[in-house]
Amino acid sequence: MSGTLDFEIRFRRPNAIGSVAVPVEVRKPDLTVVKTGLSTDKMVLEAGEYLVISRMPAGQEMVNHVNVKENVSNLVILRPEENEESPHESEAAQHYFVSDRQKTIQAPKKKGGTRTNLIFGASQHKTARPAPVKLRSYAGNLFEDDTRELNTDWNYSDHERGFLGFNVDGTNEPKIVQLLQKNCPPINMVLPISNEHPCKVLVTNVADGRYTLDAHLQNAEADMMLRYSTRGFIRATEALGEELTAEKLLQGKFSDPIAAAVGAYALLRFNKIDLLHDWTENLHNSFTWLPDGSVLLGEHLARLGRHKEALDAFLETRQRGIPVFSDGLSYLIDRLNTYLNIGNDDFISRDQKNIATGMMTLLQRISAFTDFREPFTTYTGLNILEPDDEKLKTFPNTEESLDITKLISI
Amino acid sequence: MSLVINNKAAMNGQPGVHIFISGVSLYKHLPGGESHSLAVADYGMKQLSSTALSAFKFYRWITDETVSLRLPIATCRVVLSPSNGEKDILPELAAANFDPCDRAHFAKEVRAWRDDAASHKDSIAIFYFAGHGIQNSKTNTVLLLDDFGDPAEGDLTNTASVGNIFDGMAPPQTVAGLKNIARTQFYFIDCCRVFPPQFKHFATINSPDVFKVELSGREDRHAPIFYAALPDTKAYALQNEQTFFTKALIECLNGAAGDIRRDEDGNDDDEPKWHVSAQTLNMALSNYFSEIANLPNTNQEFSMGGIPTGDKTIRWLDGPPEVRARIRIDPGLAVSNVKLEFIDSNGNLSSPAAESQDDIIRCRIKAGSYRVNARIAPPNGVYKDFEDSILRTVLPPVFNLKRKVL
Repeated sequence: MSGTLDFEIRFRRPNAIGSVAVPVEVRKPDLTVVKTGLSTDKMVLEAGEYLVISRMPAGQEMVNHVNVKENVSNLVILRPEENEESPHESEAAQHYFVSDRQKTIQAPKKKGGTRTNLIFGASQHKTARPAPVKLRSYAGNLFEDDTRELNTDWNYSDHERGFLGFNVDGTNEPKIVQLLQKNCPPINMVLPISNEHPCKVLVTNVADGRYTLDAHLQNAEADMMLRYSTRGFIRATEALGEELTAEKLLQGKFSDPIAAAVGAYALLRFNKIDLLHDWTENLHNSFTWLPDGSVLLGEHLARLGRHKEALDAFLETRQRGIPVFSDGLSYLIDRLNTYLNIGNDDFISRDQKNIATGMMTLLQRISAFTDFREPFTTYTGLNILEPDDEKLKTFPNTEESLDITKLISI
Repeated sequence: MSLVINNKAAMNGQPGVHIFISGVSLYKHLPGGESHSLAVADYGMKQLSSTALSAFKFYRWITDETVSLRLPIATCRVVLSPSNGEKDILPELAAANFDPCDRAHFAKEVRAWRDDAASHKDSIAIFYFAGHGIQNSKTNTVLLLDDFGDPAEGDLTNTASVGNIFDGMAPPQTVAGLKNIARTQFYFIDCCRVFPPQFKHFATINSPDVFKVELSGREDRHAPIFYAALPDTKAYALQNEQTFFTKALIECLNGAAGDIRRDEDGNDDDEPKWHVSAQTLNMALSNYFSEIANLPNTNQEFSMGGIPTGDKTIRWLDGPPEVRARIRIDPGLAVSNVKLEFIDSNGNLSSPAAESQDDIIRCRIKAGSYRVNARIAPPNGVYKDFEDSILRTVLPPVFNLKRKVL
């Protein structure tokens, strides 16, 4: 006495975020949860009335009611309420994936201890006259002071009033984008890219005339999972985890280590150690440039109680660079701190202690100006090696930066 | 007195809930405190007026016999340093005679709490603190105890590190006595998490350990930490009343974070029950903290940390809790002509008492699935009824809907 249920997510503007699989929840009229899964799943249910709910990471709810009939294929269409639709197709990922609170990038305190916030509002288009703003980028390893400013061919893909999206090409080394605007501390963000997988950088002009920075992964499901995971929404993260497995993401020519890192961080965040299998080891061994590969392996081993091996993995991050993800930065700092405090020569050698101490010097400098609410490592300071919260007085004399003021204020 | 409930003997080794509650409003070494020797480095802190009171309200809530926790209470410890104002407001608090929440009592009672929580893996450990807090690094919160700032001691001597307490509650590699530490742990940290500017240019300034932490064994805890504030931000309170976080927390635990599912540790044929779990609490506080707490225009934001794995039930509810319904009427001018009807899946009609402001009608309705009609009463030629065609899930804490009556 059962029927099947298919789902269709219908945004007002088709292809707004592609054919992304969205977590769905099926409940009985008494609200008891019957099944959870993804919108791409076909569910088998007993005939009867059901309510279907999907919550986007930013909080929009899509709800519908379906009467499942036996022996037939039933379809339920989910769409956001009209007033919750994304205003522009190009803003869809930002609109549906990033909650209002995550759209707030924290500006550093003034000396008096008060706090100011930059409201990251893609939809807030009542802009003041924009101040000059520039973008530039760096590549390299901060730990080894081996960074260079890049001559980036900024390829802007989306262009709405007060909002600009750039496609940043992939590369197999850590890359940092820096947003420069007068009277604000420069914002640095480590980008989620790999050789075959670019990302989209978003610059948004907010109501007070300032700009903020965000990035979205090429893999929309991984991007969505990252946002659910950051908010601690375990059920939605688990549902997406069925889709984003290491087997799918790390095999083949176009394997996606950034999406795989998102999946592994989510499993660590929710302590699903048993599901990690050899995920972190593969990521570590196959992508020897990716800082998060060694951090993820280290944290995985530490959770298993294998701390000596974990220490080796964490120390290897020095050859790779600063983690892309702020969860990684946090794990790296906390574990190195713990291991240095153990101090026992049997556990940590003098050489290892020296390496860890050197790493911690930079990590503490960076973390003091890092916004750990951001999914990607994001900190302030004009000099990417000497973070601070000083407001920019004059633009640095550089030919490589892109002045986006005119583009964004059109 | 700190150990206010001790049912260990009666429970005869069975798993139970072990609770540690701490709160400070009166700081000895801050201006207005009992001591003449003021803190040299006070980080701009002042006396508080509602944190110990909030801790006391949490204590009263969790020990209320009508609250069905997932397991029976085995032990409950309370250390509080209330202000005189709080004692005046609540004589019960003044009469309670709890030990003060200074470093010595705090450390002693936290250690005793851990020892008790280590008696059974299936037990639940609950830690609550309300008072001043700061970050000594971007990733660690330090709780300021009532003798914080004693000029005869180091700046952070009379404090406790959340990281140290959390790590000290981890299943250890070798310490046999802690092998059976409760694997389900809930932490509620109701304090500011400001990172003092003077710390930014130093290596981490340490808070003395409460626990000697050894390297952990296999990490298999379910241990979310619910923070009242994001790192580097403040938490707020209503003077002489309650902190916004504890207010929201208790409302969530009373049903605003309710949901109906099967218990994740139960059997497949168990009846689903209304309950509050780690995950439903996180969802409610993540999405609606300011609304549940009636937060004024501040930048306080809830956040979750720790190891929020699984979805452990915290308490059972007797039935479907109330939901705050918020129906936006379009056009707003019609709001005074609209009467809301909630029709459940069996066709039963409810028209709850409602109040309207601007274009929004607010009411409270029991959680369930409803068709939500907007009826023009009395009918007029300008606006028309909106009859809902589908059942909608009305789940705590807040149900939002828009109705067009033109």
